[in-house]
Parts: sequence; C-alpha cells; structure tokens
Amino acid sequence: MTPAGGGNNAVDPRLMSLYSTFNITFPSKEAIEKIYTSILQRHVAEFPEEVQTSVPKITSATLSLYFQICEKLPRTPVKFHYIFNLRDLSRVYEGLTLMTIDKFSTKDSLIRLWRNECMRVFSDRLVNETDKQLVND
Amino acid sequence: MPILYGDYALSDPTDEEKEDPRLYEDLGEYENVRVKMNKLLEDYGFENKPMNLVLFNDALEHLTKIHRIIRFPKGSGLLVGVGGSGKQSLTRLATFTAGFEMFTISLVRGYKEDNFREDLRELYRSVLKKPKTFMFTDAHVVEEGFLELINNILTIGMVPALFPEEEKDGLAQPLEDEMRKQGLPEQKEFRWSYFVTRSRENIHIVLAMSPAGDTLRLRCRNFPGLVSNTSIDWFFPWPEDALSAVAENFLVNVKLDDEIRQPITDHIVMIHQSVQEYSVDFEVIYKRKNFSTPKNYLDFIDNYIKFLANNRKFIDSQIRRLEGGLTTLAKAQEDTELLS
Repeated sequence: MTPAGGGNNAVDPRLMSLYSTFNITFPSKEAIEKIYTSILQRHVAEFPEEVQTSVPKITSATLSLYFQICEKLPRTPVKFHYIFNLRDLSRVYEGLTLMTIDKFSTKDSLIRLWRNECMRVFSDRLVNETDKQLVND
Repeated sequence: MPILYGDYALSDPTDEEKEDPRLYEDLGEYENVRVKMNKLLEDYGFENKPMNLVLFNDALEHLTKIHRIIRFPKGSGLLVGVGGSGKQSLTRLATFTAGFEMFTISLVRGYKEDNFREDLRELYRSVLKKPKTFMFTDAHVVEEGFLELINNILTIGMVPALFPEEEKDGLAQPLEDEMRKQGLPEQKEFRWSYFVTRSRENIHIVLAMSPAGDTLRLRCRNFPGLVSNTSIDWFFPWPEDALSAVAENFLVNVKLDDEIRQPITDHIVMIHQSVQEYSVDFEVIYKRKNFSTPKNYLDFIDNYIKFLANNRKFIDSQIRRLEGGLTTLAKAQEDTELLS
C-alpha cells in the first residue's frame, strides 16, 4: 500500500490494528546511486574508457534531476499523473542499457542518449510548456 | 538537431526471413526518419488497410516515442490526447515498425465482461509466438470493470482466475524445454508463473485516452497501475507547421492557382488556430469547454474541398447557361438584321 495523501485514502485505524505493520522507507540516495551505477557499469564494461568514467556522473545527474522533478512538479488535480517513482528511474536505465558499442563509443553520444531517455521518461508526460522547460533547464 | 532515438533504421518488417539488426541509435534529422517512415507506411498499406497519414515532425517524434515504449519487454504506454491527434494510427504504424502484431477487441452489441475475458484469454494463448500491441481506447471501456482487468495485466501481468486450472498446464507446456535448459524447478506452480513472466514480456498495452473531462483523472485514481506501470506520452495540439503540412497534403489534388495556394493554406491554419484562442474566452463566459480537435480540422478541410468543388460546378453551369443565352441573343440579332 502507498501512504495516504495525494489521492490515496487513509486506511481505517480499526482495520490497521488487526495487522502487523511494516513501513518500508524510500531507499537512501546512496543506495539508489549504487544500484543504478552498477547496472550501467556492468553494461559498459567493454566500452572505451571515457564512456566508463562518465557512468557515475550520469547516475548522480539522473538522481538530482529526479529529486528536483519530484519537488518542483507536485501532483495536482489537473496534473493527476505527475507521479514519479523508482520505476521511472529504471526506465531511464532500461533505455541506457540499449546502447551498443558500435553506435555509442564517445562520451558525447552517451550524454545525448541520456538526455533522450530522460526526456522520454520525464518530459513526455508533462502537460504544458512551462513544466517542460523546467525539466530542460 | 532533433533528439530521436530508435532501433528501426535498418529494419524491414515485411521480410521476416532477413536478419534484423536492431541497433539503438541516434536517428539524426527529421528528413531521414521521414523517408524511412513513409516507406514503412507504404509497406503497411500493402498488407493492411492503407492509412492516409501526414508524417509531420511532431508525428515522427510521437511515433519514435511509441516505438521506443513498445520495444521494451513489458513496455506499456498511456497516450493522452484529444480525438484525432493520431494516437491510434501512430500506434498501428509503430507496431508494424517494431514487427509486432496488433491486438484489439471488437465491440459488438451486448459486449460484456465475459466477452472481454474471452478476448484476453485469446491474447494470452497466442502471445508467446509473437509480441503483441494491445491497443485499448476510451471507446473500448464499455464497463469501468474492464479497466480493472487492464490494471491487473499492467501490475501483475495476469488477470486472476482468467484460465481454469485444466488449461494452465496446456498453455505452459511449450515452455518446458526452455525451463529445463535454465534449470528452473518444474512444479506446476513454477511452470505457470514462468508462463506469466514470459507472456508479460510480450504484451504491450497501449492505452489511448482523451484528457477531456474528469474521466481520465478518476480512472487513473481508481486504477493506479495505469499511471505507474506505463510510460506516459501527452499529445499537445498540433503545432502550426503540422497544421499547414496537413492542409497542403489534402489540397494537393485540388486545382488551385499557384499564387493563391499558399494564402489559402495559411488562412485555413489561421482559422483553426483562432478557434482555439476563442475557445478560451468561450469557457470563461459560458463555463463550457469547447475542443477544437484535429478531427475537426480534417473535417474543416474536407468541407472546404467539397464546397469548392460544388461551387465551381455551380458557377460553371451558370456560365454555360449565360453563354448559351448570349449566343442565342446574338444570333437573334443577326437574324433580325437580315430580315429588316
């Protein structure tokens, strides 16, 4: 169950009292960073060195983008689908791991691909230009 | 330079035997993609009902986005846009490009949840052979309950109690060798869950929904899987270059003087855009929303072409009548001169 608020109803305390409750906190930033860096690092093991060294930077850039988006684009009645979660991060990385050594051998191409993936995952769902601009910046 | 990434640059879905080197890459300029896509659109027309699509830049972008979504295993999308913005046609073309098959339900009189379940069973029976895009639109939501099943497929990959126990064995049968190779346990339950995992990878649900009204908002609230398990693509109103590209395309076969062709196209675009501007005022005054959809725009162009043809015919016949009258008069004058 997701926590109450933002369209999710609170569960009646009387019902809750019949269960043991576990609260799973959102993983720490370090943990997420570790997870996604390892995914990508493994994928680029055979790639030129300049690509390999930029992997940690890509991950921290993705995360800072993600946290900024979560903060600046909250869910509202009109923008009911502005829900961002770890699945979206996974989607970015799913896209990044599609790259092949033939087509992406330089740092620049990696960064351009990263930009594409982030736009697809985060920007495409936004409903107006102002919000899109925010992500672009 | 536009940002377009996809793996279809070298693919040819019409030739199944050929090796298909699908490499994810930067596709470069719009022009390259347009050439490729127009060819694919033509190929699509040979095997299916031809589609009259104008692939302007915006459409190419959406096409690439949809294609990217469905190429991922388990990839599902939620396309939101007003009617006629091309969600369904682009999905069809993207499916064709990806080399997948389309799957939709056809509504008949009295279509109920039972029929829907039967269609879903059909989907699961055939999906292992070839990945399928399951397109589900607003019109297909006969009962809100349908979305519950869709939500199930999106979140857990299967609709609970869709198949009776007897059939489950038969369905998972073809996967036995594969499981043995991977050294997976062979109990019944494992076999079934492996079947679900594999089918799920091949099912790509593409929901095409309209943002009008509260319906979509309520649906997303009641069925959170629609948002959290899909990649969302929000369609904007067609940009100006799209509008004029479409107008030009439809007016190609209409006889017009070259010097007025451009002004006419511009005028059509201007009218459509002014409706959008005034719709805002309209909402403020009358508290009602007015949508000027791409469908309206196409109808508008269509009407223009029809009116033009009708009026031309009418004026031509008038000219002929008057000319006939004039010649008769002139002849009468000559005759009277002879007589006098």
